[in-house]
Amino acid sequence: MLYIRKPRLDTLDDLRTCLQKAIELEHATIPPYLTALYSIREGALPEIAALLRGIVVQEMLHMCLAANVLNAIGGHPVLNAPAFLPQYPGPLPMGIGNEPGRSFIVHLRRLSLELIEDTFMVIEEPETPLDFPVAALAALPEYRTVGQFYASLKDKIEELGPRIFTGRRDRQVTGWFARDELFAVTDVASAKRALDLIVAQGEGSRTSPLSPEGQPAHYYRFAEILHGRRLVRDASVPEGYSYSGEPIPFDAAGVLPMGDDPGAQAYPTDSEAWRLAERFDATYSSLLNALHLTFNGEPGMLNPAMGLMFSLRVQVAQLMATPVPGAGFNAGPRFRYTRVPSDA
Amino acid sequence: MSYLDAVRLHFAGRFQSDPATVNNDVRHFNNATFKPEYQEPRVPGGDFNGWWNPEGSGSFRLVGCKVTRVCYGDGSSATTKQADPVVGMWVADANERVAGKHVDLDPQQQLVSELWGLMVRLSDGERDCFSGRYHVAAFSDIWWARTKNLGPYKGDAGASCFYQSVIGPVDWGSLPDSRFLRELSRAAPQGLLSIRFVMDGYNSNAALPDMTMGRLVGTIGPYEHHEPRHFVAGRHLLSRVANNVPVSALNFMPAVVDSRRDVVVADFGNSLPVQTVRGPFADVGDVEVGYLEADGSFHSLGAADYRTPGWYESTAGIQSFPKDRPLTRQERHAVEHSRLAVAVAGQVVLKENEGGVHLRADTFVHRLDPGDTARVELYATRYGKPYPGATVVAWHDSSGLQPGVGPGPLGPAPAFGTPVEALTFDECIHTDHDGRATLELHASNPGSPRGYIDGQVYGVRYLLKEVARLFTNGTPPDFGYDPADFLSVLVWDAFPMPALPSWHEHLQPIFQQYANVYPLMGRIVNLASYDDLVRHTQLLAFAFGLPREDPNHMPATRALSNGKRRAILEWLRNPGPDGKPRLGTPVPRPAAEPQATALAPPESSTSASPEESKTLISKQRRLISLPPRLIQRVLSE
Repeated sequence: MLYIRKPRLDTLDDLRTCLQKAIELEHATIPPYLTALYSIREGALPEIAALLRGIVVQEMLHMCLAANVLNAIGGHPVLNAPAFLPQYPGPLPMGIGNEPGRSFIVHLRRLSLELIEDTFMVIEEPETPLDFPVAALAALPEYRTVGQFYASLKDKIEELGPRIFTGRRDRQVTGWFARDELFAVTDVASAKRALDLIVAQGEGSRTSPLSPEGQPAHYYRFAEILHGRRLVRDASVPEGYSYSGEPIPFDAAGVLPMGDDPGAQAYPTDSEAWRLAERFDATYSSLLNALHLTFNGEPGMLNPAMGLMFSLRVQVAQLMATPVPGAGFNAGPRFRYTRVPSDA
Repeated sequence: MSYLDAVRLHFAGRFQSDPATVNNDVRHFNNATFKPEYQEPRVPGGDFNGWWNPEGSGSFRLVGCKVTRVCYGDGSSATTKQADPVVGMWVADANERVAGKHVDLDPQQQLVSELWGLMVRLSDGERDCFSGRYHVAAFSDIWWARTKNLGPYKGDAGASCFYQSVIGPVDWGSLPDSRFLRELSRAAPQGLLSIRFVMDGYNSNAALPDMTMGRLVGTIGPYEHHEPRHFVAGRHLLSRVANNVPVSALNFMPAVVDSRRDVVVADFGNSLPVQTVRGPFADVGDVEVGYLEADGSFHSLGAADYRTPGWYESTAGIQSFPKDRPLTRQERHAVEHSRLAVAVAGQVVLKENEGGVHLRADTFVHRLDPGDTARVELYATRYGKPYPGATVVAWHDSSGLQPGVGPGPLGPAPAFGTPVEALTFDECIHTDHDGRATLELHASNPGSPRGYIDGQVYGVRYLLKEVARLFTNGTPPDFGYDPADFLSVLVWDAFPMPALPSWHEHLQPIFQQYANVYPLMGRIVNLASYDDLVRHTQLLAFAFGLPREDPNHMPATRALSNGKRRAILEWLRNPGPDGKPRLGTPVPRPAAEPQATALAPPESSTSASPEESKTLISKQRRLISLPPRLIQRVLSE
């Protein structure tokens, strides 16, 4: 369960600021999830890889949806600034903590069951009335859960009404995702639908672990990996579901020996590990540049952005197969943003 | 006036080229005999397997290239950022799309590799001063003997070549306060810029640092619309030639007479030998630019500063002559009416052709489907001025092609250049009043002459009548032409669109071959697997549907005919009743063998060669020969 400091949300400008933060928040989980996904050896752990890939793709969708909402109300999403990317290891945006007031430090690590349980399931833990008594939150009025944060955005959109939808229609980005997933946001209803989808896919509903499309929400998919079984309907237990479906085997031998937090290490300059890490950063920076343009008047740039995504996949395989000299482990991606052309 | 304009910038740094090398051996295209080890790296001193970089991505990048000098219209220049903020800026490639791709035309023509989808921008590390598309171009004038002492390096690392093209139209945007950018944008109002860079010191040896990287110096100036895009409309100083390669102390080089400033601007970038790989120039003695008097004696206009440390990086090898003054009236008259020349230690080693004549094709690499016509623009000049009414002869000449095989027991390579009927053109054409002529190359279906690999590759050589007359019994003279001046043409087989393209009947062999020779793609999708392709139809329809110029175009090797590409797109976009691209039913597929094979195996096939790829490939070339009927023709005109 994550808490964020309650943001100021009075004016239209506040709403825009919050949606920019939402874009940053949705993006911030992508590097740790991608690192875990990338650390799987080629062809190994296919079920886990598919689960992780599905989650990452949805986080990307959520980022796009938040950007569409921001564009719809006349904002300007910023994705190409150094501050857009968190530092890893470091806290998530908006002072997110796993307890109110305490930052939650996220690392870039190779796939392990500990990582799934101690980090990913904490990030995605849903807000349910049972887990979070109202009284406890009332005692801490300056904090909100992520679900509450999105709910407050919806309330503000409703309150400000149709007049705030001044954004240009041609800045709305669609394509690559299903039409009912990435859609144009043009009014109160479509904005609320976008924010609902973000919460539902991420957290599920309060009554079911499944998102509206019938897939387990992110938390439960991570739990599937942790428990090694699919989550299935199970009439024999009072909860109605149990982790008793098809096995999802985890085997540490299927994971590349990437050292923790590549960004916190100094790979020897001019080593192959350094060169490949620099190139990865350059490509990731290009991806953010392309996405920035995508959401700032050049929606066609989503295609080059997709090309960069696949380029990253290819580059990271080479990077993670490369030992760090003298370190006893392999290199990994650092996810740093830079506009300065690389010397590597 | 191209990159040799007075207004130009020089930059220096490195490049990375990461080619996939499984396709370096044409026999690896044979699906029937392909083995998994052809995707493994070469064993040092042993099997060639998939050569030295089987998992290459094809990417080409400019690495750490920075502006070292800006030159102004009045002939002055700046080398510090205090004097002009452009100095020290980066000349970089794309930062909002994937890198450009470095692409061979064919395994049997690997010596005119093109750059596709490259962007070039000038950046201060925060903003771009300009950014533009690099128009597809092939390298030229590869000079194997540039490096005197290879040290631990091998073959390719000692070679040098240049790329010349146009970038833009660039958007000038909001420019910093730079005199240079003001002058450049005024000189290039259409936003088209001329760029040339010289690459050497390429390392393809994983045991040495900087594998896949090399040295690069370059120059950017304004492009004027009537100019050729891929060579200098100017003066061409020729080396002597033997066995198809230059044998003078210096390599072929261009120069121009800048009539506004009354100087001769000469480009030594791809012309001066270097001592060691990526090292300083070899000291060959005084190198002087001048002209030949009527009696043949050399009149010097001054010496190149090539022995000054940092000269190459800060000038890209370009210098004006005379150095500190304009040409005198007498010199000006002389350089416009007599042959320019370069002397080394007092001996003339490079000079223009007799009569100052020169001919070159602008775009010299072409990919054609049956029914296509390539219009090749040729520019003839005399002393740098248009040469109207010049006679040009052209003929099928595959001396610039190579069998495209490594050592090993894979059998002979397919013959190239046949049937000649599949590529036709006029053997004799004449230049118009601007000294230009268009050679039309008409392609028809070659009919799978190479069996397992699509289409056929052809070489076409062209010469001015004056030069063709110097051939003796069909064999070339040792002076008067540049062996790099010829056309390389790939003509694809016809591939009629099937009514309902299916995996088994039509597409499996195409995808299998691609999966074989481009293994990197397997990290994203297994192209040999119907099920995996079906999972990625959206991605594949996107990538195969992109224009060939797009850096994300599939296949990255640009080695797919339009006919086959259309069939693939039809297959992906119009699925069968089950909603998937049609599977069809398996058909027996006999092994596709070449109709003819190359006569002699390459000399290096007996043992593992110490050479590296392009060096090895280059040794498989043959000699130029002019057909007797054309000799008759030029003698009778």
